[in-house]
Order: sequence, then structure tokens, then C-alpha cells
Amino acid sequence: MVASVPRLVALIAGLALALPPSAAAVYSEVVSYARGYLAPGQGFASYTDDATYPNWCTAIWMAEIDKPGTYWATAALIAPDGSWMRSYRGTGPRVSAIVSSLTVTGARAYRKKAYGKNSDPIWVYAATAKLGRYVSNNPGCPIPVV
Amino acid sequence: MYRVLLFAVAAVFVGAIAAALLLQSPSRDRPSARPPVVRAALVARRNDARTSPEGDGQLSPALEQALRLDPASVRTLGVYAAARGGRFQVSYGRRPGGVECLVAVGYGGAGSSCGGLFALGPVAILETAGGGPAPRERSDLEVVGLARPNVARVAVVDLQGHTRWPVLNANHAFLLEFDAAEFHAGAGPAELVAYDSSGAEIMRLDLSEPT
Repeated sequence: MVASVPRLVALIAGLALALPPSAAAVYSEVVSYARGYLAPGQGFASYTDDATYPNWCTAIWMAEIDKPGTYWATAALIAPDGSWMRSYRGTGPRVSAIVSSLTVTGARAYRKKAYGKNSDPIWVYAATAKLGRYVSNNPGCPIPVV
Repeated sequence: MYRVLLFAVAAVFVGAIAAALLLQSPSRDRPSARPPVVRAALVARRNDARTSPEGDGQLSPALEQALRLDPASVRTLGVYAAARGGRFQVSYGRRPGGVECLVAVGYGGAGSSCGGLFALGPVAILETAGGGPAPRERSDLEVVGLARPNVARVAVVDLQGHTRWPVLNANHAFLLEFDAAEFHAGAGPAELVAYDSSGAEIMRLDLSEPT
């Protein structure tokens, strides 16, 4: 009995070592948020994302504005110089914007923000701007940052 | 006594290993996981080839996943030629829980407006634009709409007062594109008006953007 316990422990420890770490962590969505209250006409954005995140391997980015009510909301992906890459505006509570056709180099050249704006002329609303980044460890990833 | 103590120590050790395995969760830095089939579609290419996985202007399974649409609910409402080449696809889909979405894909992007689509009237609207935010920086702007069956015609009045009549297709969808030249000339959308079959106005929506 005394001898079998260490063997069991060694077996389990060996299994732990044999299992690939984070074997299922091959795909993830990293999201940054900006939450707050928007006055009429006011917009805000999530904080600037780090485009040199070392392990990312994708060029699909998403911004989403999530808010109550039915006023117009804009979701945009924003370049470092403040210009908008692409934006979407809708009356639904959740508006999403995705840019999917960037090259890897092009995607890395941009830092992105999720942007939301309250177009209601009277009311203040709470809102959340999300920036989604899809990171994978697929074959060929991570691509070294140059 | 010694055996009991040894067994207790071993049990604690095994428990610690089991806990470590459980805590080695792959989801510690991600709020959601995606199935492997989508993973492949989302991966970017190593070279500088465009990364549209399955063709621009098409609501791919990868985009459905990113927009959190239930694939079984997705249906194409219309496909439109884009002024600068390529195409726009307008779709309807639902998220888990039944939230309705109007989706537009084209010009290297995809976007959706979800929830309360008809809260402001019988026409749901999603605008998509390239460039900006200033109008002179816009490369394009599309007004995408989905109308309820009681809508017979829609009109979009531009900022210069001209009225355009986008065609409602069999799915009651439409797309009206403003190109960069029109935008530079000050012809962005100002108002949407919907009419029923008798010609009565049943909706008027301000499309101008707050400054």
C-alpha cells in the first residue's frame, strides 16, 4: 500500500507533464472595454490596443458598441492618426464593426479602438465600447513581430 | 499511524496536481472559445495576401461566429454590386436568445445592428461607411434597410434635398450607396421616409449624423 501510493503520484505527475500545456488554448478573443456614460452627441473609445502583441496571428478585428435604448450608435475601428478604417451605424442596441481584409502587416501597422457615440439629442446613456481581437495558435502562428 | 500520515500527504499531493490541472484552463484570458472549424477560417496569412478568408462581400462562417449569429437563422436578403467593385451582401440573422440582427458585408468589412430592429418604425436601418469620421474623408457610405411587409416604398433624401428611391427587393431589403464623389459634393443621407401601399407616409427617420 505504501509503495503503491508513490507510484500513483508518479503516474499522475507524469500525466501532467505529458499533457500539452494549454492544449485547447489555440483560439482566443481578447477584449478591451470602455464603459461610461455618454452625453448627447458625445463619443468615446476603448483604450488604444497594442498592435505588437507577440502571439497574435489574425487580422480580424471587431469593435462593438453595446448600449440601451434605440438611438443611433456607431461602431468604428480607428487608425492611429484618428482616421476611421470602417464604421457601422444602426438603431439596434448592439452595433458591431469588423474589418477582415487587412493584411497581417497592415493590421499590425494600425492600432485600433472601438468607438461608440450617443446620437440622442436629449438623453444620457450608459454604453460599452468593446474591442475584440482574435488570437490563435494555429499552424504557422505565432508570427514573429518584426 | 505512519501509514495514515503518509497516505494523507500523498492525498494532498494528488489533490494539488488535480487542482493544477483544472486551473490550467485554456480560457483564462478569453471570454469565449470557438470551434476548431472556425479557427481555421479566422487565421491570417503569413504573407501580405488579403486575409478575407472566403471572399469579400460574403457572410462567411467565420464572420457569423464573430458576430455571434446562429448559423441556422441566417438568410441572405440581397446581394448588390458595389460601386468600387466587389459586392455587398445583406443578411438577416439571430443571436442565441433570439436577438434579431441586420448584417452587411462588403468593402473588406462586416457589420451588424442587433436588437430592436424595428423600434423606430417599420424599416430597420444599418449604415456602413469606409473612412471618416469627417464626411470629406469618407470613401463610401451605404444605407442598408429591411422593411416590414406593410412598407411599399422607401425614399432617402440626401443633404442637398434630392430624393432617391432605392428598390425594395422580394425580401423587402434595399441598399443605397453614396460614393466618395457624392460625399465630397455634400450628398450624404439626410432622411429616410417610408410609405405604405396607399402612398401614406408611415415613417420618417433622421439619417443625418450629429456634428
